[in-house]
Amino acid sequence: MSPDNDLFSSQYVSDDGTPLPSVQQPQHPEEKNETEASPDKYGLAKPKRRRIRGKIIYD
Amino acid sequence: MIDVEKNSAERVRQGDIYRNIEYIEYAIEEYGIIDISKIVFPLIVVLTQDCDLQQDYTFRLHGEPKTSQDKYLLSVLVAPLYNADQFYLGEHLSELNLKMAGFESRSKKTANKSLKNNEVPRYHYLDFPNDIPIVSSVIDFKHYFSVNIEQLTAIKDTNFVCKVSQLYREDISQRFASFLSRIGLP
Repeated sequence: MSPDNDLFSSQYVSDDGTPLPSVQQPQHPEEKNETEASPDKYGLAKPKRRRIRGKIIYD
Repeated sequence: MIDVEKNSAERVRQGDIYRNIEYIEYAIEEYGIIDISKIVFPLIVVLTQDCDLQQDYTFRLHGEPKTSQDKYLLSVLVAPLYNADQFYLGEHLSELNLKMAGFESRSKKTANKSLKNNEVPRYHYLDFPNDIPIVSSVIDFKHYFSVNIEQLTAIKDTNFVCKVSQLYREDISQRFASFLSRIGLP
């Protein structure tokens, strides 16, 4: 899995600010944030910025 | 070259290296919309004193029920590890649209030797053993941040990479404290 095609990417809007239809669901740690998925070496990827926007569902 | 331990422990320890750790830049709630920006760091090292981490763990999870939460930590202090080759070019934060100064990469040059000998106060160079899958890395002591301890504990097992052994972690800790407490002269 390439760093740019991780599990998270499709769930984030780009920085143009397009809102998502609802708030993000909590994710299980195992599914989380694989900027480096099983690489030969850790530390090859660079830090990345992620942005999340969504409607809040109040209790 | 540093020594490392490959085994995870029951708790977060000083010197632990974790991958894919998030730093929340902001979380703004306005007009029913939540807007969150975060940076995902590929690798970080834990800087918080190990005795504090031990006490937090003991009070929070183990032993007899305690009468207070006096030893609880709110957060864990960490610092990112940057790819040394990207660091030399000043490109290690390019995906955050930040251009850094860069550093001498030629190993025979004095500046490079100083970096690798950890004689430059701001940086800490780490060269890992061959059986540890981490590229040569540089800690930038200016970029420390904190992570919620409960969150870090929750992802500890999946994100743990290795632990810097005690002697080398103390070297990191001592140099970080020295850098943080430096006196800024005009």
